[in-house]
Amino acid sequence: MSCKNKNKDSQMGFILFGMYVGLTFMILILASCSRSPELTPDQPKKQIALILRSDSADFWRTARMGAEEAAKEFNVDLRISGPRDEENIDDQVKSLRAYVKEGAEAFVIAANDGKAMSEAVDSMVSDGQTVIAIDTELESPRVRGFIGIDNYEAGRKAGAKLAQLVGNKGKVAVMGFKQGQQNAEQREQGVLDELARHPEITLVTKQYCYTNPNLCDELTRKAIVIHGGIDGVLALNAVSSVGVAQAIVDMGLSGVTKIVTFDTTQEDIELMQEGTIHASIILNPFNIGYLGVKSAVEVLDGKTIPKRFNTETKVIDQENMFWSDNQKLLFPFVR
Amino acid sequence: MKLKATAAKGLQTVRSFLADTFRVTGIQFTIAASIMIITIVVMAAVSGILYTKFSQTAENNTFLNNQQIVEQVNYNLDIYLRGMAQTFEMADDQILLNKGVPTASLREHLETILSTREDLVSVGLFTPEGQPIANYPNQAMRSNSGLTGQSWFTSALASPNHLSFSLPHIQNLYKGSYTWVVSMSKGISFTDERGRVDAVLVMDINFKTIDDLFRRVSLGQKGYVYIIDKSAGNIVYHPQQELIYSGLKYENVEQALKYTFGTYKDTSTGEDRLITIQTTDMVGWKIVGVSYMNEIVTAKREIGRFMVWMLPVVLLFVLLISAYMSAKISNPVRRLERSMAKVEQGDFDIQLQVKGDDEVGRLSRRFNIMVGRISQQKEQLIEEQEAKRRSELDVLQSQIHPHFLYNTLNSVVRMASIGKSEEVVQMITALSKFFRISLSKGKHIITVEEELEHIRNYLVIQKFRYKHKFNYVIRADEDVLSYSTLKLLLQPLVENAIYHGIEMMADEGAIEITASLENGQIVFHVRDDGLGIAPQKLSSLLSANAKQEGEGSGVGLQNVDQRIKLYYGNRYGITITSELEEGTDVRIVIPAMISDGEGRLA
Repeated sequence: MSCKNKNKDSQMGFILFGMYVGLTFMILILASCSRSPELTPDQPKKQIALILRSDSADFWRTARMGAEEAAKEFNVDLRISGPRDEENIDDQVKSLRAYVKEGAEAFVIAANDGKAMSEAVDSMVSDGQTVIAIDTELESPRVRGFIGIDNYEAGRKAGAKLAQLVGNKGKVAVMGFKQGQQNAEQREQGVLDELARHPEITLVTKQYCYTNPNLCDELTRKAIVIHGGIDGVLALNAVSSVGVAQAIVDMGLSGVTKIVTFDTTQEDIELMQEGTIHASIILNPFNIGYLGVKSAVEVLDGKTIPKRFNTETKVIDQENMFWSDNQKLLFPFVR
Repeated sequence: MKLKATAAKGLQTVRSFLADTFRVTGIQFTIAASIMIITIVVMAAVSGILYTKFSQTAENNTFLNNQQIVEQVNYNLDIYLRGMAQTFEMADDQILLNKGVPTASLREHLETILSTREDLVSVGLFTPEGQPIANYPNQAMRSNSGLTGQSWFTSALASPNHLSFSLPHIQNLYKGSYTWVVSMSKGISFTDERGRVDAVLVMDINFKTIDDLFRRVSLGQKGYVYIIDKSAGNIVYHPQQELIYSGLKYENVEQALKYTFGTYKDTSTGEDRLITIQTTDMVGWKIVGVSYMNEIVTAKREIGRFMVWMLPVVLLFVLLISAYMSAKISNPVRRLERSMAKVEQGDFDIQLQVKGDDEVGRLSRRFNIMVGRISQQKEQLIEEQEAKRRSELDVLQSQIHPHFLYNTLNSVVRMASIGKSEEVVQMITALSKFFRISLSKGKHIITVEEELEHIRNYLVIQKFRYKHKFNYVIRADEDVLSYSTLKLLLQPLVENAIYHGIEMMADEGAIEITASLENGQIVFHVRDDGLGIAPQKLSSLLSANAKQEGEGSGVGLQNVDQRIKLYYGNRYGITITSELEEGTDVRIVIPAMISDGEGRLA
């Protein structure tokens, strides 16, 4: 009898032991779960690819900073690439092909060649994928939105600033960087339209020096010599401005010939403080990068975004260049 | 109405499904179901409590965590700036020592200081008009730097001998590069040969170290810190400074300015955010930690989802346990029930195997005892029935006793041969009546009157046979005659009286038979004045093992007594009193009852 009882006790003990083990197991799961709630991501990260026009230029490094900031904020797995220089379209197309293969859900593209990239997008990107164009407009039904400056408006701002600097009269030259490029053409058109409103200003020459500062230098010297002195030069991008400024300084015309440029390099800023370059139209690459990724996220979330979003431009001159809110624009990097 | 029917049908289906699936009904189902219900309720309650508790903890942890992180950042910044301030004081001391003259030893000292701290960009000494006195390292100054208008310069002049820190800004004084710096400046004065000289000492710290410190801070996945200036609310550092400057982002600086330190929830940017504030006294900056509440909510949702997932697992676990436990309880009961059903069908040879000493065990044991009792009683009943049948057989035998008949007829023949025809007639008449009552259509119960008539006939016959060796008297109360009695009670007793009491006597014997009603009982007496019975024999006469010996009817006293007891119960029966040489008195007591005429007792 006592033996039988013992048997029963041990059975009961077994059940209790089982329950105990079960409960302990659950509590452990609960505890481990509660300890790391922030480590488990809520949703899978969005796969977004960013193709920049260059991987080295300050402008695009700043854009990249903005894009990374957005990626952190919107829980995006962001892959970034850019060719060495802003002429290279083949590498950009290669990158796009690679990202399509990797299965990115959205592409944020700053194309070096709008036409070539539009064709590439048409042929590679499927309907389910989203493309956001930044800086350079793309012609493709896949493109859901564009983020960049209004180049025509920027050109007008530059023209107006130059007109003001030369006192609304005199001879001016325009140094472009490339013919047939949409951004450049729009800028140029803006400048020309603006200058045309000032009857006493004569546009004496319009040159293209691509991305070669030396060519700009040479062309500027020639123009000044041919036209017997020029009151103002408008450089349509940062690279050309360096060559222009070089020529002006070398010819001892610093401060006499007014220079208005787009965008800045470190040298430009120094020249502006010294008084050789008088004004610059500043874009906000950080915002372009940030908004590019943000728009892509919004499209993926099923929201509608405007077909076009213009980021602001700012006219910087010697007077306001060290104002605290402009410092961050001119000097995006803390180094 | 249709709905009700459907619902009822559904319930039925569920119940039969449960019954089929788990083979449970009754106790097992009740136990399992109750455990399940209790578990669900408890689990729901516990889950609710845990969920609330965990989400509170998660929230509190985030609060604390943010506070600690921001405090840590503040502490690090403070330590860093204090170190820088000390370096500044060293430079200050050296300049005062050399009276501001850029001697070789001063240069050496300051350049040593600059080289020990690589995040020191430059040291400069300026007149109140902004003219450089000394610069280390010695670099060409830029024009148009507007240094007299810069905040570090103005604040040094405004409060001399007080070390002030500027906001991070671009240092544009020297040719070469533009660097983000925080300027430490102080208005100092020393005396040289020209007299008292005022000057502004500035030391620029590369902002990178501080920037890195802030950039590395992350509060959750999306959270960050930003820094504002205590007095004006200017943004010192913000990871998305450009967005704020261009108005694409908004940071509620006004509210942050109201706090020196603490934590509050902010919804002004459209999202629920947790703001944690610390103030660095050294530079008058506010470190504002921002973390997103929806990350905490994510953690909460995670917990909630886990609970939902865990519930079915626990329920399955409990289901198994409860099915096992309830089966353990209900199985013995069901075994008991099956045994009872067998007993119900008349099988009393069941013995349950008793396991354990619990309620069911004890119940089983009781059941065993009960079944034992019942089967015992059944056997007893069978035994009694058998005895009754036997005695009836005996009676039947006595009714047609061949020996008696033979003797009697012998006497009749003898009498007829000697011509005593009248006596023959008497004898035959008595015999005929005797048998009529003896047989009496097979009835067991007759009236007292018939019984007395029967015994009278018997005595008439015996008297002839024994040649009038005895006399007899039969007396009965009038009222007793109509009651019923068992048949042939008196005959064996009278027979005994004749054989054992009177036959051996030398004198003529007397037999007296009476019947009377006493206290609702019928009392017969059969008395004789014969030899009597020896006491030791008397005591054994009625006992069970008394042998019927010698002659006589073969139906002894014991038989009569037994019959009475079987029919009327143990209260009734025979008592014998006897004295040697004086006679014997046999007293019979039976209940006074009226027969229904069919030979059964009413």
